Amino acid sequence: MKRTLIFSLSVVVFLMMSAGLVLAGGEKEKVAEEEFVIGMAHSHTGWAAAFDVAFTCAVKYAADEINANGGIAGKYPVRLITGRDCASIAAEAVKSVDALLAKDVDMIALTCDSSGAIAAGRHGQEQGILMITSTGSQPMTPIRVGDWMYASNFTDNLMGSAIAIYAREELKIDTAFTLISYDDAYTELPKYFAETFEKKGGKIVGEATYNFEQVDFGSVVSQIKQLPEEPDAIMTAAFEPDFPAFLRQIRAAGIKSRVIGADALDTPTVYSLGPVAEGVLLCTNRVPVPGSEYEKIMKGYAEEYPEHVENAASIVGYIAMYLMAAAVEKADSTEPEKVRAALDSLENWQGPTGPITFKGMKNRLPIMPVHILEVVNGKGVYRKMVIPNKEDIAEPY
Amino acid sequence: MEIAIQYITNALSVGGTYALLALGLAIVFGILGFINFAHGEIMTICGYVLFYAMAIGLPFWFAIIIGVIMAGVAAVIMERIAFRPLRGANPMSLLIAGFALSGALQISFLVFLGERPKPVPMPEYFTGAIKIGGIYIGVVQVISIAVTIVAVFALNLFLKRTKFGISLLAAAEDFSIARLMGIRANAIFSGTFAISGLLAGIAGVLWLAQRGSVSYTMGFTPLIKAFIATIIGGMGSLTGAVLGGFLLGALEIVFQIILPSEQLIFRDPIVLFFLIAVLLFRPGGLIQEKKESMR
Amino acid sequence: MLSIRNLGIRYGQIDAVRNINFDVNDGEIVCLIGANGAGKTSTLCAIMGLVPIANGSIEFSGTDLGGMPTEKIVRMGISLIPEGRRIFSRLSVEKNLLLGGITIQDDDVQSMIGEMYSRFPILKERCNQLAGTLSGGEQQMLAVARSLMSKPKMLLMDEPSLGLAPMLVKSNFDLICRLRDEGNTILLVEQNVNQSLRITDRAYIIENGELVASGSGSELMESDFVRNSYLGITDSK
Repeated sequence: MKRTLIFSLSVVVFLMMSAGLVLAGGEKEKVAEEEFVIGMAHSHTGWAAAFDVAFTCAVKYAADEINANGGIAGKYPVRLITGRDCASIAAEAVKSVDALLAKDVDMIALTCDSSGAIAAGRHGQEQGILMITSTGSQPMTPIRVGDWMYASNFTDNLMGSAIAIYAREELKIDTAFTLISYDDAYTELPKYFAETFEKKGGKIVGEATYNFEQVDFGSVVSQIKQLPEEPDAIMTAAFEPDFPAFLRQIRAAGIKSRVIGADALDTPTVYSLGPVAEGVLLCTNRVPVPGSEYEKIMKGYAEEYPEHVENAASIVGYIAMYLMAAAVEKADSTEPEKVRAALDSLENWQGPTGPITFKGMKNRLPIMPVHILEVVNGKGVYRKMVIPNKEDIAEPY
Repeated sequence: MEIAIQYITNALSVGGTYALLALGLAIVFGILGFINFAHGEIMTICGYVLFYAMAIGLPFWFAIIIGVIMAGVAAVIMERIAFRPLRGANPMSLLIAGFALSGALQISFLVFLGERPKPVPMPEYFTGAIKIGGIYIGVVQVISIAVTIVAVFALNLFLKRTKFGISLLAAAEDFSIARLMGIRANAIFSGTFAISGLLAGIAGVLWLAQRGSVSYTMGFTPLIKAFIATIIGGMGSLTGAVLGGFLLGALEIVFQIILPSEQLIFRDPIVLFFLIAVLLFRPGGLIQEKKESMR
Repeated sequence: MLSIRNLGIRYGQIDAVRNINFDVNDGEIVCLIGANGAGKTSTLCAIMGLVPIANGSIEFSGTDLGGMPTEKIVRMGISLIPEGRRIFSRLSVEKNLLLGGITIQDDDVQSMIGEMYSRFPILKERCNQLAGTLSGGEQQMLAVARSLMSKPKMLLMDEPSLGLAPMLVKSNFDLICRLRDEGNTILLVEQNVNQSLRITDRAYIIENGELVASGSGSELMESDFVRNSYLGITDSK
């Protein structure tokens, strides 16, 4: 009787152990299917929310598309972890990234608020985790953070140079006046414009500065009026609410120079300004041309996120997701080191709106297409895709 | 000369907008004894109403009227919900209630109305320019100045000539005695906020005419400017608020002109420094009003 | 007309008034007498609803005034002339009167203002002047006129002779008598005990928030307590 008991107990224990082994083995099987985990540290409140929210929606949309096809290269499904709100405040961005780092993510996409991205990025840099700037266009963000941080949008120097090339080569603009604000590094973009513009034979005839929410641009207007000749163009990276105020005031003062802005002008407000905005040039990631790849993507996207279709940050998010997927596919791994190496060697990767190259570029700032639009009858009319040559791009500083 | 006229027009139009906002703050402070820090959000509400009114196809002027009226209504509702339950409380509690309300409204705008600025298109004749002699003057600037003058004049007339206006002035001077006359305290509270809201609405329209879009944070900067203007003018003094608004506008324009381009980032600190100097010589502001001690 | 029962008023931990009882009948002058801080002004403020009552009741013509807002009490027909007059100094004389009559019919306001001007001709001369520029005596007249504008059934006067020149004090008491003779009911708070007791029908003496004596004016004039504690002080002044 006793023997039988011991025997049966041994059998039970054996069965349990083997069952445990089977279960454990099963779990191991699951791990083999590697996920590519992206931490999303974005601002859902504050000024940066206007860009970050649309970016995250598009990343999610692209990730769903990829996963519907079995994951990256059919074997690496994408999983997104939304971090806590960065609130457009550097300290909050750091907390958000710290929390994501603890969750074992493979990479992190950061808020476009550059002070937050830099502060939080340094924590990621210490941990050796791959990071992208999302819609952030500040070239100094990857430079200040270090070799784990990549720009996923065109940077200000690339943008400024592309606009300058278009202005010189297509519009034959000879003289330009620049309007800069030191309140944010982004509004210093006209300096990059000026560098390439002069390199291409143009002449900068004056420079003025302004403060955010200044409302009154009377002194800038008179500075322009006092020039011996009205400049062919006025270049500024001002955005709402300063840009509409500035534009109205120079037009009210009878200044007819063409106004050239940057990507932050691609908003409904600018298109609704009426006659004063006619002829304004701006750049964007959008390609609003019927039949373009962009339009096809947005058609599907509109069904899920109609409120973000017009936001250029959407396509940046979509491209960024596929860009990372391309790197993972090329690396055939989700290991940060390998993905990073793949990203570094990416050359002429055909993104939905044009080729993107990291290979041979310093500071992890890609060359990618800049699309120029002109405001005609209150709409952004597509003019040209500009991809500057490496040597024409102004150095970031 | 041309440039001088241009500068004066600009200074008056910017100062006028500050003055209207400062008046709204000052009238609440003068009568009820606290600063409404959610005043800027009334402006924002006016902006959103304008946007939605125009989006459903209402004509521009009609939308403006609705926007301004809704600003007044919003201010009255604000008083009912946030400030009336705290009546008689420490002014600090009211101040904090204002901050809380401002934050809550901003987040609500963000969540329910979206994080991107909404365009408020202005008709062409509103944003163009008129050429007088050799100089161009922006229509918006002229309208701003005219509207400010009309609003200040109308407010003055209302306060001096109507029974309710006189009651408000009496309440501003001595609230408990005004109640002893039989003036209804609730009517004073609501009326004060209604006027303050209407003024914020008008200022909001002028502000929007310049900036072209409404965003959920729109009210913040102007509120700070208006707050500075009321302090400089003398807390609670209506004349002082108008003077303070114009002084602030004029100083901003003056430093805008005389500061060299690379020093322009110091404009606001310099303006503030100048205003602090004013306070050193006149600690109670430009116009100091004696207040009765008992409230 | 007015009856006060067990009235208590508390400011935080401090009892300003404890269990006071008194009545004012139609057509009477009743005087509350006491030193500074005795609780006289608090009592008047409680009647007007300006301070909450801690216990007891205030009844006016049979209606309980407890918890009623000031503006409603004014409409019941009680008017207070506050201590220090508290006229609206930044408004004109005429506007002060207009505010006094805010509770009456619009058509009546002009005739009431006319009546006030005939009663106090000096106010008519000064009608467009800012009230703050009037002399002390004129301000007192304005304060009285402003209160009468609401056609009150009962007038509460808080230290009307405070800060007035001796000559004006006399005419002020004459005015109070005249108002009574015209049929007004008056509750007077005074520190000028001598003069007050001469004109009052009845008086109550308050010390530290409690009633310590009461009686007709002449009775109190005779009492040793009042002579020693109050009239003595007044005489030496």
